[in-house]
Amino acid sequence: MSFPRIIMHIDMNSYFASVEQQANPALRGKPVGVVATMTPHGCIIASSKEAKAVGIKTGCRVDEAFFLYPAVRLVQVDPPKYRSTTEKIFSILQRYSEDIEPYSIDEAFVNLTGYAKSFNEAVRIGHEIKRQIFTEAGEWLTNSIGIAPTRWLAKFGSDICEKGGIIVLHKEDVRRYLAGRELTEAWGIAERTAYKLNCLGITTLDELAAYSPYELQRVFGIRGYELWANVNGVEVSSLRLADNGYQVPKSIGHSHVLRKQTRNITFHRAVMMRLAERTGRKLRSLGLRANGIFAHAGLHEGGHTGESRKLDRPIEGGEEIFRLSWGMVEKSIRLSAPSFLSLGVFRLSPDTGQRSLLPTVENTVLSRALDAINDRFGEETIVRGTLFGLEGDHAPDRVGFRKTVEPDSRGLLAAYKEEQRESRDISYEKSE
Amino acid sequence: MLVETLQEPIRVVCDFDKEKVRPLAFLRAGRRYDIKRVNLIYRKRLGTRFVWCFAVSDGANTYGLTYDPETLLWSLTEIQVEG
Repeated sequence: MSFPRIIMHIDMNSYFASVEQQANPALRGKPVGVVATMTPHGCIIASSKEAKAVGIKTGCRVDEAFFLYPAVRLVQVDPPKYRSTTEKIFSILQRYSEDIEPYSIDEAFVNLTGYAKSFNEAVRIGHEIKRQIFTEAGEWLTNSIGIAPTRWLAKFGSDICEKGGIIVLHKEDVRRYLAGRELTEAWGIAERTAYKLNCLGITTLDELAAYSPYELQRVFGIRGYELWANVNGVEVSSLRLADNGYQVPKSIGHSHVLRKQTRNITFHRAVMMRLAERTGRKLRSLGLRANGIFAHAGLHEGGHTGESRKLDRPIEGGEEIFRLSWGMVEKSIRLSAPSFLSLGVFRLSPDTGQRSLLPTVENTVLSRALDAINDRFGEETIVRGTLFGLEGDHAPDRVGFRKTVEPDSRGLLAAYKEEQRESRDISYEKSE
Repeated sequence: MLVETLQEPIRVVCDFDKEKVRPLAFLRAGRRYDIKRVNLIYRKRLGTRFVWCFAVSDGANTYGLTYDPETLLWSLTEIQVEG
């Protein structure tokens, strides 16, 4: 017996703000903004539906929010609250399918193929999930659910669905939903792609669906076929569902909008060191090493400085990340006070355990020892001297906007170790 | 809204119901605060272990309580007063 392919996409509505309203009932029904840094230039990273109604949207600055609605309630971001609630929600999803792709901290795909016999049953499961989130995670947490035969259509469904609702998109009548919709409403089409499509005479999603896939492929390459396939209900990315979202990230980095304007170099070095140490910790916890690094600094006088560089040998230690990134911005910072600092690493690959023959600056053993102490007793129980005296509210823990999250990095590490063990087993067999 | 963050050990009256822990009241500065609602329960990583956080209300204000399963200690970590 064959079952129809059914993908569900669940998207939590105004997630961070809703979690804050869940935690504090006094905030419910009021415009709430969750801010990264409580300064006039700080950015609102999530706003409640009430805040959106008065024009305070994600990305709005704190001073702009007060201008739009003076009584707006602003709350400092609290990442553990959101991560833990996400874990609870994903554990509810796992009751209905083993095949789940956590797409971001507030979104996930659930492959219901074989678990639901029909789309009607998938809708029933959707209602059950909503009820369980209501009773177990919190009554203020609402979500939109899209159900469709492909991953793209499911996400498109949850995007166009009314807040808190469920929508089913069948392949046969997908054109009805696409009719007249702007290109940028679709997942994966940003302004630049939309402009190129406009040049071909395509202005809406239904026009894209009706366009020749061969012509699109000629202009955009394989991406052109993907664009066409997505809006026509043809699955092109099914593999991602099978691996439970286990993907090597493209980059890892941190940034911080400085709370004060100062020319104190010791302070800036300490902030950079905190960002570098956190990046190094994340790298090592995922079992990765980096072959590229970037650093940027925004300047109070305007403009910004920084660079990006490929490395001839892999790095993983916070000290080395700091040394290289500091070198990229130090000269400008000494001339002009920075307003924000950011750094990150890219070209990531699994740490094979093989060490360089050339002498290295970084002491890997020391980094691992520091990790062991901080793992046991909490972050920054032991720190490098550069960080000494820096208060905790400068560059605190932040919640990432990464797509394809891993709810617990240790789970990803375990997957890596498993993979490495398997690869060692294979090579052992070969040598025999 | 006034928000105060602190780290104050407190006495908590608690219901350990099978697999769930539910704070019922806490005592602070000689006063008993009866918990009317547990709004959100979440956990926070401390190194390799976790502490459990409870966002609770007494009908007037909201409080953050933290339970450390290793030390078996409760702390008051946040007070949010509507004003």
